[in-house]
Amino acid sequence: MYTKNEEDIVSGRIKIVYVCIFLLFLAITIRLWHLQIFKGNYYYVLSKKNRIRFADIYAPRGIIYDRHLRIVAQNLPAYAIGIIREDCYKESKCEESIKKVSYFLNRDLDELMETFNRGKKKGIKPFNPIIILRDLSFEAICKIEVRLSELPGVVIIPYPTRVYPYGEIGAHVLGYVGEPSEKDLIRFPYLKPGDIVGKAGVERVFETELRGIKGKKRLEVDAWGRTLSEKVVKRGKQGNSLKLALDFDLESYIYKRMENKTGTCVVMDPFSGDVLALVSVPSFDPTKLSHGISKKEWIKLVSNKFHPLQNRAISSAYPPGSVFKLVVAMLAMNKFKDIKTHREYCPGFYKLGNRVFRCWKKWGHGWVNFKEAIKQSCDVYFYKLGEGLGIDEISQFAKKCGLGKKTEINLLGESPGFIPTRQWKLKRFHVPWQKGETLNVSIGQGYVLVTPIQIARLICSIVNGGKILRPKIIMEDKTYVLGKLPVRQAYLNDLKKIMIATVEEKHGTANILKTKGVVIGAKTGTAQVVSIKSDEERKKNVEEIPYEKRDHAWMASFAIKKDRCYVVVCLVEHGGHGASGAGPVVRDVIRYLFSRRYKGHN
Amino acid sequence: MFPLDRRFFSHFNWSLLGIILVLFTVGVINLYSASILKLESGIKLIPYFKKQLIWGGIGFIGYILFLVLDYRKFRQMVLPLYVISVILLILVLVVGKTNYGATRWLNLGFFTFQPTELVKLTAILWTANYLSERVGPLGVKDCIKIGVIMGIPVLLIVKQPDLGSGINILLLVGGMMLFYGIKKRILISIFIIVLLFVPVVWNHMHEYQKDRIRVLFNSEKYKNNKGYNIIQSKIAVGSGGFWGKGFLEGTQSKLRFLPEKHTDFVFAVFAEEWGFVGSIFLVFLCCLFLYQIARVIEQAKDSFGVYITVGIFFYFFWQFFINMGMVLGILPVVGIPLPFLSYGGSSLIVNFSLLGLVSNVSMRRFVFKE
Repeated sequence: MYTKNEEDIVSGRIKIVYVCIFLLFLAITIRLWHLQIFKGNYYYVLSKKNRIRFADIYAPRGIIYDRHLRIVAQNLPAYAIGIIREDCYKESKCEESIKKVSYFLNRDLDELMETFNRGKKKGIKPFNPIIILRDLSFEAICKIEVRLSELPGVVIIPYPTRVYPYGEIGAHVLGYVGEPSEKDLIRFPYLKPGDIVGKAGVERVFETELRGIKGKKRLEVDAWGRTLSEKVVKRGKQGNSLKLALDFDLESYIYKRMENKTGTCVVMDPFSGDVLALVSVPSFDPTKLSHGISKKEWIKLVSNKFHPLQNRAISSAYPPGSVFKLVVAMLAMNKFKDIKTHREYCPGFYKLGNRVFRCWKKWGHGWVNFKEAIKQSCDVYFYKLGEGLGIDEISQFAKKCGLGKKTEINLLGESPGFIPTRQWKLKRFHVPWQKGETLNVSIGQGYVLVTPIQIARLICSIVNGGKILRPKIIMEDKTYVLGKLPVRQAYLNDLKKIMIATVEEKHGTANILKTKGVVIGAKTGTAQVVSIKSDEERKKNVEEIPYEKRDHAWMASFAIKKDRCYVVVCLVEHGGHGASGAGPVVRDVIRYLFSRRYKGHN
Repeated sequence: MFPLDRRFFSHFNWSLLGIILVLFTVGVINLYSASILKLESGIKLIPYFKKQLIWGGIGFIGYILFLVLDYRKFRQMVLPLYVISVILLILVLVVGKTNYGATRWLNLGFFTFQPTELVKLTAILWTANYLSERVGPLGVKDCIKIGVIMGIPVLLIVKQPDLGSGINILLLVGGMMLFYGIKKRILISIFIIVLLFVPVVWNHMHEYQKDRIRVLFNSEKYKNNKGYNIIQSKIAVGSGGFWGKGFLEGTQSKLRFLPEKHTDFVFAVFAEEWGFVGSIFLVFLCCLFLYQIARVIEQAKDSFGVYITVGIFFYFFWQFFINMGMVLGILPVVGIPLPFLSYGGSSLIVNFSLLGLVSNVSMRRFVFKE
């Protein structure tokens, strides 16, 4: 049958076929062994990794209460509307649904469509919702909910949001939350993009306490990333709640009292160091900020010339004005044994070399003693005191009183203020310290800068017998004593009496505070914004001076009735004179504190 | 003469038919598993396995048809078959129906027909006829003649594009020539020519085809795009381990990680669920099947019958080898199904029909006894 030329034929004929079968078996078997036995575990792990994913379960943030357990920051559900494309059998049906949503909720259709198309471009899977509207009210959601059957593809997605029921009140203390920035992600390694993190205020400082522990769930997914089943493997835990030292009734009252001013007011308990109120106006709405505002709104907020985001009580440093005389007075009591009987003549100005330093009272106070000098805030008396004490003594003493450094209040962005020294001047300007500058410092002008919280704490120290406290934002049993005023108790009592006289007695600069049944002591201050004023401008009424050039008004006070004692410090930016600018606010706050409307702070 | 002669029954190759049915049954069971998709709402069953059963039934009719006709009659039909095949292939290119970017089908109104399947039969019959008329080892002239005559339909098929079928036909014809015997120097020169043409072919290949070869050597590098198929296939096979994940328990296929799981990559579904043990059994079954065909080659009494069977042997051999090699990541991805296991109507009908032809050759061997 076959004709063969054995030498020339390559094959072994039928043998070829059997060799082929054998080689097939061998090759496939070896490879199967290699994949399934030799690398079996490796591939098993890979197949598991393919289908098993782990996802976080949201953990609610801790609630923030005020000292009377009123809720001041909480978590509430907000609602978003999403479109699941897979649930509409045609793309045009989705668009129809969006049209209806825009009609029912009276929203701009083009904007919704744009959001929808952006989501599609981003590669959101057809079985995952594209969010077209966020932050909807319950009413709006109801409108959609009842019509869901005619809205194919539309889903309502509830999600947790941070809500601050007091709105702009207390915003600077509470702060706000938001999505973590790149820096936040590095700082808090447990954060992931899309999480919520404290951005400012207490929310930021106590981030680690407020933040809950996220739970974990195990998802089985298919190749398209669709979740087929899920199982909770670790439960989440809500963050710890926080009790503030603030009293939001008081906070609300002060905020409303100051609403159309620019400034700040701090109320403290001088014995515990509790900050009962810390108001900075203008303010902002932390709820809006936490829900994410548009870039335009943000720029508007940041570029506002009144800087609503600035916490003026701790972050702004102002010249203390005459309030600083309290510091100089204490130093003088330490240094000069006979100070109480020391008198000076005030003709309305003081001449040093060929420079004239004026007293605020143009025609002068005449003969004034120590008490009257404080009571009537005589500048000339303090020029002379300052000249006698010298800048070195003053700055050293001021620093010992806790000025020029942070009060360690538990809030971010605190300014240390500034106390100038001879060495600083030389280093900074390469010019030696001038005597005239000492005079300026003596009445709280020039280079001296303080924050309102520092002044509030200083008054606390005077009232509580010299203890320098750490202002407490959070309710704690512990009182933090950071130091002691280097002044004898008796002197402090004397100073207190003089401050009371400033309110009670004739010619006192703080007469405006006088309130029946309450013992009040105070010191006013006027911080010059423009350092040297022409005589002409001095003559003018406050109303005639342009707003930006008006002085800042200070009022630092304490009020005692029976066992209750408060320190109230107020600064009104460009408010003019202390008594007239900040006085009425402090007076009203003190009256509120002792009125029946106020429940008391304990 | 049929079905009167009782010797048809006594000479019928029952073991070949038996093993075909076993293979087909394993295939349907495996397709049942490959038909399942896991969704959020539960399990979705795509009825591939049911359709496969129906196609199997139609295929069996083809088997009977090719069994009953005396295979020797095909000798006269070789030339008309060839001409019809080429005309149909040209028709496909002109008026063919396009699915998934490939033009392979002719719309005949009531059903669509894939001329490529006919070409496979034609190639086997024409080559078998040519070789059976030859005497002495193949010379240069023979090789060129076979090359040109087979080259025309193969080129037309590759143009569709259906590289898998083209390669399959080329390799089975090559197998037949090798079986017949070629002069050593011609074999060596063909080998050298092929080697020389490698860069030319490489330059004419589509980018996606080049990628498939690149992926073979470095699949990790192309993990998420071009290498995805092959990586997922390897994961499916490898994760089966020794005992397998169990019937219907394969995660790679149920969760859609495995592409083309019911057609070209059906072996991965099997290997994932039945493990090393099951896979070896399946490979053994395939080899047993090939062995049965090889037995027919030995038994056949006329050279036309021998070369038909040799052609059909290589037709199946290359499909097993290339498909499994592809699934296991030792050969580049090319669209060649696994006989009886991959889902597909036309391939099933052709497979059954060709085996009818093998049984035909086996059954009629007594004819030459007198």
